[in-house]
Amino acid sequence: MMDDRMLRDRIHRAVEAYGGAVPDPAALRQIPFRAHEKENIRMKQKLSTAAVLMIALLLITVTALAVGLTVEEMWQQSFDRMRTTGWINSASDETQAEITLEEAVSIARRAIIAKYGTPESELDAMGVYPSYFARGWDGLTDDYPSEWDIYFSSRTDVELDLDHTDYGPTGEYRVYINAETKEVTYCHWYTNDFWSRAQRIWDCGSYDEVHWHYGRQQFFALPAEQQAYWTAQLASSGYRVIAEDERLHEALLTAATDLQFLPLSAIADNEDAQVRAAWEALAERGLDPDLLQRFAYVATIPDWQTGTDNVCVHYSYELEWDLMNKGFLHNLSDWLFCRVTKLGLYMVSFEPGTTRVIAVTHVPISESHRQEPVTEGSLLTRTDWTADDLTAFDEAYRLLDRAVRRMQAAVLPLEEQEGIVRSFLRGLGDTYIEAPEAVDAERWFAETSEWDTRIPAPAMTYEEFTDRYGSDERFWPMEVLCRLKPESYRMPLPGETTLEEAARIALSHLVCTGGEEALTALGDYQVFCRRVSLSGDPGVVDCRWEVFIVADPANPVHGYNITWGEWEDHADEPDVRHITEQGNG
Amino acid sequence: MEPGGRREVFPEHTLNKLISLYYTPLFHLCCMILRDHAAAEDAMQETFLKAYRGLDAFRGDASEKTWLTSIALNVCRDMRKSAWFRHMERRVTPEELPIPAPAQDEEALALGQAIAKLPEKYRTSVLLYYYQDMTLQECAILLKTTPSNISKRLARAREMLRRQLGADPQEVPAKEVTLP
Repeated sequence: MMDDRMLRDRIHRAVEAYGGAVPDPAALRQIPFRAHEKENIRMKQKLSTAAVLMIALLLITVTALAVGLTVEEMWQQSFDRMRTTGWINSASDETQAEITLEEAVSIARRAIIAKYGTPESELDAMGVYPSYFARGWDGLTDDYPSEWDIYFSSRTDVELDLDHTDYGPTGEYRVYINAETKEVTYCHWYTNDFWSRAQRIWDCGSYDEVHWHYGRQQFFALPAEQQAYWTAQLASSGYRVIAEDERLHEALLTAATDLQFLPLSAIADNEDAQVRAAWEALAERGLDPDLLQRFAYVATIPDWQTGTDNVCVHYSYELEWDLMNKGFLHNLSDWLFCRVTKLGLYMVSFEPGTTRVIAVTHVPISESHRQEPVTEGSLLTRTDWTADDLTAFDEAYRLLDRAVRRMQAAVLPLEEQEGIVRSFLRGLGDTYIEAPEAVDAERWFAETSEWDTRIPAPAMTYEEFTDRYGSDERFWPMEVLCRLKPESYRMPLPGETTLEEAARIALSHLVCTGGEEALTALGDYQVFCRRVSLSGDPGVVDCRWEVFIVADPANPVHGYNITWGEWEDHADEPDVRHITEQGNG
Repeated sequence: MEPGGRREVFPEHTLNKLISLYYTPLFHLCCMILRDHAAAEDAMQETFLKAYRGLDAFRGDASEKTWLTSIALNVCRDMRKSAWFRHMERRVTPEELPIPAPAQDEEALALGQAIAKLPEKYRTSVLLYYYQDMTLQECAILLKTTPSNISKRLARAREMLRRQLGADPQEVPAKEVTLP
């Protein structure tokens, strides 16, 4: 006789043989990405045999109605048919103590009417589709009681399946009843247009159900007056009216990626009354414009297909750590500060064309932020920030910036800098920073005060140049190039060819080779000259002139690039090419 | 979870670890319970999604395996409750259900099929105890019953398997599992 261990081994092999090939679980590794995108992964849609049966039963129902059967007779026929097809468990499964089908249907009707205020006539017009499940039907535990599942539907043209989304004009109902205790364990009204019948539900006192729908994306698709009405109804009953529901959260996050965010400076000149009204509404929540000026990007969305006008305010603190990129901590900051908490997204909704605020919706992005994949080595700052933390954050940032510049002056090894920055952040209350001991900032500054003398004057960084002049160096002013790359560029010395002369040479050569029409075709053209030193000796003339003549430097597809070499005793013949034939130098 | 109840910073690492360790046994478990390869795959998605979402709530009171198995069982139960699944199963016998590609070990496959034909509660008890290597106590907690009841189910399951497989009753022992 086999012992327990051998049997285990054998069953292991048997189960694995039965289960066959195990699918690749790689897709599961995307779960963190999907977790905040969708509340639940929907199971695969399958064509169920039940659906086929349902359709058949519906046909029977229609036929029954056609021949003038009463609703009671129709139910009984449906039930009998299902019993014979095996869809319903044999009646012998029912015990004396359990309720009958007729009782179950009666209980289900009462439950629906009580919960949803559905008129009797509306239920009378529906077909009833019952199922019975004997005790322990789930097969796993003994304590699952027998159950009636009563489904009401007037549909005849679609599958009777829970997964469908079209419930017909009057909706459908499903009620589960414990067949032993008569307890209604589930009662739900499936509707396409919940809000048009919300009033009926509200009148029945099902406030929670109405509130559940409030804040869903669907709510914001309602006409503004309905949004205002239900907001007022719920607020007067003590319900929260600022939606923080996950689905709305998702909707706003999705919208946020599509928004055309405008710099705050652009908005500051905006006379849009709704923007001002939005700021006022946000100021009431502690987000005054002074704070927004420092931290926020603002976008206006005149029409977001919601039946309302919306103004969105989006906070991103990541921008505030950009200074870290400008020094030698560039590599460090790439991973150290890549995940800074965001305050979230605010949306102020108005009645169309008015400044009447219907709702202020706040999506705390940090909630979804927590679910985003966090790569190894990245660190999180505090996730519980509120508007009140802004000042503290500002101060913390300045402190850290000073510390970084001191370390820069002291030329500390990268590892040491990293350790100090981590310890600083931890000392500033960042609970997610992994660091040995928090630095006593005051003491650290005192001990390192002499480093300040070594701090060089801040130089303009490449990023600042690109911010100001664009990413295409060909169209940067020569003065800028000389400051940024003095080893490559220098301004002409007295007696050398000037920038203006170089421009005239280029223009005249273009006209000689391409004719006047080459220039006139460019319209309102611009000329950019740069003089590239070919010798490290500043006293040597040797250089290459590069002149760019373009219609639009922001979109340099039309224009010419004229280049030539200039030496102590002569100059080369200029070479003219279409601008698209050249790299950007 | 880190000491002190602090939220783990890298939940996806934990998820990946759980997938690496438990995906295969849980997949097989779901396959047996649902008797449907594709449904088991769905169940796995749902199980690990729930696990990911519940990482914060998992306090380590039970082992990871027990916790995940519990989620998987609930997922299977929910799936069996869904309209399409429970009606489908009433219309199709276990023999008619699609079986994955035949395994090399025909004897093992025969036993696997025999286990799959066991009534649900016996099948699940066998799977948890013999395949998931859980104790009677753990099985009892997951299946909301007593250890002695699990022991009885196992005994009955072995008896049923013996009858199904027929030829060599010695292959499946009749001895009762000793209670702890």
